[in-house]
Amino acid sequence: MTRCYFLAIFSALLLASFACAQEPPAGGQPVEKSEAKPQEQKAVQQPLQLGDALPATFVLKDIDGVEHKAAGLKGKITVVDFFSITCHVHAAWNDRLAALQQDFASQGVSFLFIDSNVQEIGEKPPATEPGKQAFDNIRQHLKDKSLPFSVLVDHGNIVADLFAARTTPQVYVFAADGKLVYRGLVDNDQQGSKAERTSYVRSVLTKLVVGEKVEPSSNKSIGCSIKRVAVDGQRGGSLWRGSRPPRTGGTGGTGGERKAGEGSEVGR
Amino acid sequence: MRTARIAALLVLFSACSDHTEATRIVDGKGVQEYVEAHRGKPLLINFWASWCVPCCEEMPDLISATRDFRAHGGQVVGIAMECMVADVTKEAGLVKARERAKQLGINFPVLVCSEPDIFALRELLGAEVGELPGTLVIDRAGVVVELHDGKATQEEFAKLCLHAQR
Repeated sequence: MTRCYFLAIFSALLLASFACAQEPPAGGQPVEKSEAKPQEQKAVQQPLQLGDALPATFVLKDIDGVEHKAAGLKGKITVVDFFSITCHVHAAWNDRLAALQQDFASQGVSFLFIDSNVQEIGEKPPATEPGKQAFDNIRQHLKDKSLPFSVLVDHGNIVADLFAARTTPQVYVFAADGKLVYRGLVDNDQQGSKAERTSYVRSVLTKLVVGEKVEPSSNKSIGCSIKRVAVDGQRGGSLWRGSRPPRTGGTGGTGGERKAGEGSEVGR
Repeated sequence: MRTARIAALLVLFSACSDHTEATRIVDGKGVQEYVEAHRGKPLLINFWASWCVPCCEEMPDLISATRDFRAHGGQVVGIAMECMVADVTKEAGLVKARERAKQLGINFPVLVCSEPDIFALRELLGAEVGELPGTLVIDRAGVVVELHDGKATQEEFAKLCLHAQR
């Protein structure tokens, strides 16, 4: 009988190890499979660096079809945020971004919210029937959350690539001379639950509106990867269409740039 | 003989249900303790969330690309960041993560992180985590050797496994 038990357990273990080694089905989550190909790195344009001017090629339409060009922002302090209607991490910062806009728009600061997520805006501008409006999903989201944002749509994530934007949210602040002076987090409070928080964007804007000089700084964002269009048969996601920006992972942020927050890593 | 069959089934069940039983709630220190407990093993920590589309899309690749790595002593753990959503309790997060893990066929442990402060988690892990998805690579000595931000391909996951084994 003992031998029988031993054999049964041994057989079961063999079966178990075999069964567990099998690939479990990705049930319930349809995922498009594609042949693995080496990722092509097409150098389209160098991603924006601190100190660079807002590229003259910057042209985007908002959800109402109004065109926004770099030329129109000349001489204005401009805040650009990479926006999402589906990212819960961005949602946590929505109200604080709205508060920043409320406080600084009256002081001449322009706020642009760019949606580059292919699953939210589609691969191409949608064909709309006469009398109907496109981007109803974004419009409804803004209405539901009472967000007074001007949302620009970035089909093909061209601007996201140009800005080397990775996440939603990710904020860029341009000084009145058009130069990028800040890139990164809104503040150091992801959930908006801290009694005291450091608002990086507010701090930069407060200085800029009174004409104070701001040292360019950046920190690493927290948020959802911008879902980009698929390229060359690859699945969409965090793949880079253009030049890949410097890796900001590992032990720190983008190399060679001063970090916001007393020269150390933000939030550390 | 009947008892032997039951015993065999029990063994079979316990061996295969390891990953589902391991789905549990931990705070930031719990994540750090998990890393400490696995010192000596190469470790891949995948940050994901049930609501995160690219996270769920990359999961089949993570599962298949790390099969050999896990078979040869490497450890993969998923950290479900359900609690980054302000109104999600850790208990609700656990339910969501379990359901999604089952749907996705995740066959490695999943820890539901209840740490409300992502900056504290960065401090504890010594890495600027926070992009979803993201994969942190820790070597046998417990040292963070790489952080892959964003969705990874099978090839990228395979490289991360190699880096962890160095």
